Amino acid sequence: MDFFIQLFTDPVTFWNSHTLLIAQIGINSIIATSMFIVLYSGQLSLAAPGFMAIGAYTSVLMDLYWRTPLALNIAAGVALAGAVGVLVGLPVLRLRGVFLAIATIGFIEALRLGVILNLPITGEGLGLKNISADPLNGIYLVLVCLAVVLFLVWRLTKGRLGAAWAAIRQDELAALSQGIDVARYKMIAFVLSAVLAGFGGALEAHLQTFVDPGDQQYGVTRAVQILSFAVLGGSGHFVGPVVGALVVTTLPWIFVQAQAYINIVTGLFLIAVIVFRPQGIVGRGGLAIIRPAWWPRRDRVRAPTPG
Amino acid sequence: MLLRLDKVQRHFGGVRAVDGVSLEVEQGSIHGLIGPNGAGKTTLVNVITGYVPFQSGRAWLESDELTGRHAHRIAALGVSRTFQNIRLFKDLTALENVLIGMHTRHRDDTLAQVATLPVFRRDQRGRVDEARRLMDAVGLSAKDVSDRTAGTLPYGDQRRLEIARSLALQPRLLILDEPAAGMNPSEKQGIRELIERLNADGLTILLIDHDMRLVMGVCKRVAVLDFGRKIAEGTPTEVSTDAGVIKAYLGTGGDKVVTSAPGASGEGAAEAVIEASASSRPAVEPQTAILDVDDLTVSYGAITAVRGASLRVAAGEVVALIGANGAGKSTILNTLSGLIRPDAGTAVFDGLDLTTAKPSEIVRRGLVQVPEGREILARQTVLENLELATWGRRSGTVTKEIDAVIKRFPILGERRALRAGTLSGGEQQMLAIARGLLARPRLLLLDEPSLGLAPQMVDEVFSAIEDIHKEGTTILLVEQNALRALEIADRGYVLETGQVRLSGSGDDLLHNPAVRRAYLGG
Repeated sequence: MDFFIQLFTDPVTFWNSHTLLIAQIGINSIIATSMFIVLYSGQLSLAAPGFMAIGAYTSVLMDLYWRTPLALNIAAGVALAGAVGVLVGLPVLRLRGVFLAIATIGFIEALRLGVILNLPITGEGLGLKNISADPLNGIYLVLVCLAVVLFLVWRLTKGRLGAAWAAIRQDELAALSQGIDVARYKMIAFVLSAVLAGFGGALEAHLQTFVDPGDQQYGVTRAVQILSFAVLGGSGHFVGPVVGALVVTTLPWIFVQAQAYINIVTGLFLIAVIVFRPQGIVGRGGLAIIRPAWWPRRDRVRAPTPG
Repeated sequence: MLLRLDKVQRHFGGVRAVDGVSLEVEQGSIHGLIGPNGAGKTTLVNVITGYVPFQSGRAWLESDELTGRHAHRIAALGVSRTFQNIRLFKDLTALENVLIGMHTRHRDDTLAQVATLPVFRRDQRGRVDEARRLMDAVGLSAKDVSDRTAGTLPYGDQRRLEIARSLALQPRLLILDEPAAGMNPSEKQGIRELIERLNADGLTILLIDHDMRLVMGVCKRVAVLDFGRKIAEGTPTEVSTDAGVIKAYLGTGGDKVVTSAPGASGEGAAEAVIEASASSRPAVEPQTAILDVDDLTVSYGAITAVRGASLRVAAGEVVALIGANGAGKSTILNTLSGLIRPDAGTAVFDGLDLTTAKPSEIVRRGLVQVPEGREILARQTVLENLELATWGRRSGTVTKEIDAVIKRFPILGERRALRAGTLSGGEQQMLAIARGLLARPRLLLLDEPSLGLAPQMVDEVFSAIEDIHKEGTTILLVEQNALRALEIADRGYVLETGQVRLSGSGDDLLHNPAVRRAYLGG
């Protein structure tokens, strides 16, 4: 309870003593948004940790060897993640549901065990020292980036692109019959998700003094954690996975005493949500869930009432 | 010609789903496409709309070739469709569903969205207005329906919404796949008026439906498919009196010639029908029944499939339950087997209340169903399929019973080590019946045993059914092949839209023109 007491009574000290936590929430929220885009278009892809690894290693290696500026490093990581996204998407997007999930797990494990752990340049599994990491001041960058990402995703889900994704998620055959190029829109979602994951990965690396190629970081364990953001928060609205990321990332800090059993606590929480609120904490309504009754409703463009 | 098909062909494995169909749909007309269950109507639509690739043959929409195009491109060319089993975007609102229908006419607004430009808001408002007009046009009240989640709308409204979504595409050709399925007569009338109004506004419609009154009522021309081939085309009157069509719908009475089919004479048929249905005697219902169904009503959500049907079966009888597709035949059988629970009415088998008893208990009492489509285990061998039917019994007698069944169906003995999925359709049907017999039935429910079988196979299946009956098993037979079923039946019930329209002795119904009406309208 100390956690909440401090949060509400002394937010300044809270901010100072929880910088790392808040930055991690920001990173995880960006990754959760990457997950949201694929789920929103009806694809159960678990490829995010792979694209995070690509973003992270590209950015850190450029810094290490060429001393290029951070913005350029991150941009390169994002671009490479997007390009790999296209290459991976071409074959795997023929699959659906759990088969797509398994194929994307294949991708992240092949990348981690096959490439990262074997290339001399990535440290062959010993990890990589990140000399220009900035764990403390990086938080501002992360929060600004998160705000931009959330705004973009919010706008995208509102337009023609978002409508096409929603249609594909609901019923691919019916979407085809409305003239929606299903394969193309799925690819757009998959690559956009790869780009966001690469971005999140590069930002995360910037906060850490050491790039660790472990399973917790870029393997299946991470993939499952990212999926749990979406399951917990709900994938019908972009706010859902962000709320899920917030909860999952914060739980270990709230239950500090139960540290050894934190996975059990998270698991029970997840089961409770699945049982009592299967659409996720947020569901399809987005922020409407916390909107006070007096707040004017203006979430949809309405036609003037006739007459 | 708006739509032109030239020898379109599509086979699935050995099944010739669409086998060289040529068809022309005139601009501004309502063209009907009918045929018995499994005739290939939906497959043909799936080929035209690009869901299933062409095997051979070509198709054009005016001068645009449809052959080899992707489904979304064909939709963009102006071919819009609805689905047999409604495919709305269920979790989206009605308004969002119709807006998605405008996808192809709506330029990409991603940049305007990201920049939150006011231009977007204006465009969107125009589209919303149009979507509301479309909803009103199909008879939905846009004011009440717009913001409701599509999946929560009543069934009839979902059908209408799907049509509104199709119209949002501004199609040149609208394909309606069973728009009136599962509707009650007044809803059907509403759909009929809607179709006529859309056509009057200049829209060309290809209409597929099992309700012959609807198809015959609104279409100028009707094409009939059977086993993937077009067997007839013409005006509704020409088609409904065509001997080949009657044969496809009602089946053939074995050796009897088709011309003896009820009402096939054509002219003067209408009077004969009225006379005959008036003179048709009520069935002589048995006094002591082994199965007694009274006033049964069954529905699937909002769709009522069976509306107050009553029927009785006495020990030792063969009773046929016939009627067109969607009349409620299989629903009745599934209710008797305890797989579906009725809304109202009673069903008693030998003192057992079938409306509450567990399906396993019903089978143990001796009421055994051989389901439509056979439902055999395709990857198991023939013998394994048979052994499974004796599940839970002591092994001593089981081998003897299986031997006895194999003696009856020698072909199964020859094939005992083969996987059931490799058998021909007729052999699979034999296996399904054999499996039913191993459950030691006192009343055997047979659901469409001749479905999709070649004529000589149908003969074999029916002679097997007659043999089983002679050995003392009571049989309730559901069939689309009405003439064939009535020929071996003691009594029959004719079902139409979930109600028993006629009943009588097999011979009586066999010569009653009203039976044809139940199938082909009139």
